[in-house]
Amino acid sequence: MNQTPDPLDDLLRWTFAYQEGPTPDERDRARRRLDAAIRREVAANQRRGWMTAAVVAVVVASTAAIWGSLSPSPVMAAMEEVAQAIEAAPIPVTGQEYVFTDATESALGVVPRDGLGRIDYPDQPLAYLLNTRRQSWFGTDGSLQLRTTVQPPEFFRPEDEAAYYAAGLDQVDRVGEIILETFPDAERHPWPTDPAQLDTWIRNAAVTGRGLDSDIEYLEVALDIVSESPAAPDLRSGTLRLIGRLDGLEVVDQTHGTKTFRVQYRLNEVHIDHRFSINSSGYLVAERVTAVDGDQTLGLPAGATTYEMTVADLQITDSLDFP
Amino acid sequence: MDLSDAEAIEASFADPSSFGLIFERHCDAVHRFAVRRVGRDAAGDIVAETFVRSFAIRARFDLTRDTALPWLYGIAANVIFEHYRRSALAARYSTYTFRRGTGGDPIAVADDRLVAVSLRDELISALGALSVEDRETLLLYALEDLSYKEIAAALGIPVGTVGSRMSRVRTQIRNRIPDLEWRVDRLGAEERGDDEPDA
Repeated sequence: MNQTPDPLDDLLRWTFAYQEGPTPDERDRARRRLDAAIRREVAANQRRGWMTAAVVAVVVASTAAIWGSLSPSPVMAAMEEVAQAIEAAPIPVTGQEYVFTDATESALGVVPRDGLGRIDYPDQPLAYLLNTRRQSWFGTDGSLQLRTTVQPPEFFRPEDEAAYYAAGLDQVDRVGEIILETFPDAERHPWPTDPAQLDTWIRNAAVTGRGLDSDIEYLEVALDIVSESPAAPDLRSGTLRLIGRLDGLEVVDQTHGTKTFRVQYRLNEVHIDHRFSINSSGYLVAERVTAVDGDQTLGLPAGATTYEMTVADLQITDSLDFP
Repeated sequence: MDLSDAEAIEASFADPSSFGLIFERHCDAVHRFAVRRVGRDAAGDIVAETFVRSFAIRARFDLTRDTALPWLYGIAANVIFEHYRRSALAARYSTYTFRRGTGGDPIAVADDRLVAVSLRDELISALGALSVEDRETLLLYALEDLSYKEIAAALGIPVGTVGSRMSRVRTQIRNRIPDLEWRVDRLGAEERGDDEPDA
């Protein structure tokens, strides 16, 4: 293979000349997470060594008795109902097929003042809602094709629209474009289906440094598993049961086979109301986040929607065309 | 005696703590890889997740390979991909860290000190117009110094595909940046303190 020097490579190296390593604190945090994973595996190996089949049987029986004696919360009961329905009627995906999902999304974008460049704009961040339609084809071979249509954004303040275009953010966001991306090996997490392992994996993935309560981070990762996803029935049912155990959730509606849940929390002193709906097949079909009291800094009025998504029922298709 | 990466990973099946050697050896490189793509703010979590995940799936590592770095880059690239997909969901509110200006760009650490601003901006714009896989192929080659074979292993694609992608990507970028060779040459001259080269 001919790999000749190219001035473009020099330009890239100059442009991205970043050579620093992590800070001691960043390094230490990453190492601690790895060490925790190592310790968990060591402990699991030891347990496997110690336990006889009889001990396992006693533990399982005891655990079942404990869980059986607890009254499930309405959220647990609702999730359990969907989980059992999924297991009773799994959607078959075999051979070279694709799971096709079609989602419409409106997500808050926030650009700090220093990201706007030399335009006439107050010393405040610019906020807007970016609207996209995302169509995904998940192949049984682990491939993924994404087709994203970026629609014009919506603004909360009149001055923001002019600033957005003056700063060229429409080009950054690729407004008006249809972006087709393919990932030959986009296999997502090899999520385990054992409940304890799945719980651990979700917890490990639920670290984003956004200062959110860990249960909220956990919920977002768990919802991602059942959203626009080819997740197998046992993974979906297991995930929903884990979501059902989270504190702070409540059932707000369960008519027409779709169940809607709500959780409220604070983020950066902003009161958030987060609702999501799970259909009878265990997929996330709608999600909505609102800033209950608004946010003056961003110009958001009370009750402003900061995120909204709806997903059509998934379809199974045998090609990368529209079903 | 220093264990090779393959030997350390093999040893970790019996003694999981041996995997710590992989972390100590490659943490800095994976961190730089992450910073260049997601910025400093998010890089720490990407690094942590990359090593936790690589530990979990270490049985998939090809023990005939000398170094685990391309494999780690491939895992990090997947973690970053998921980070962006999830951030599309999670960006719903705390997007301060995901939008440009505070380290949210995929191309987050362009160095103003070394590159004329207009050329840097043109390059970033050109990179932004590439598909994710094309951009990753180019950056793995130019920034992480991987060979075509190593890139193929990292991204799970044939070596020939790497070659064709590189050719296509370079053409696309040149089409978007006029006079790239001359301007790079001039920048190099400025770096060295030479007189301006002939146009």
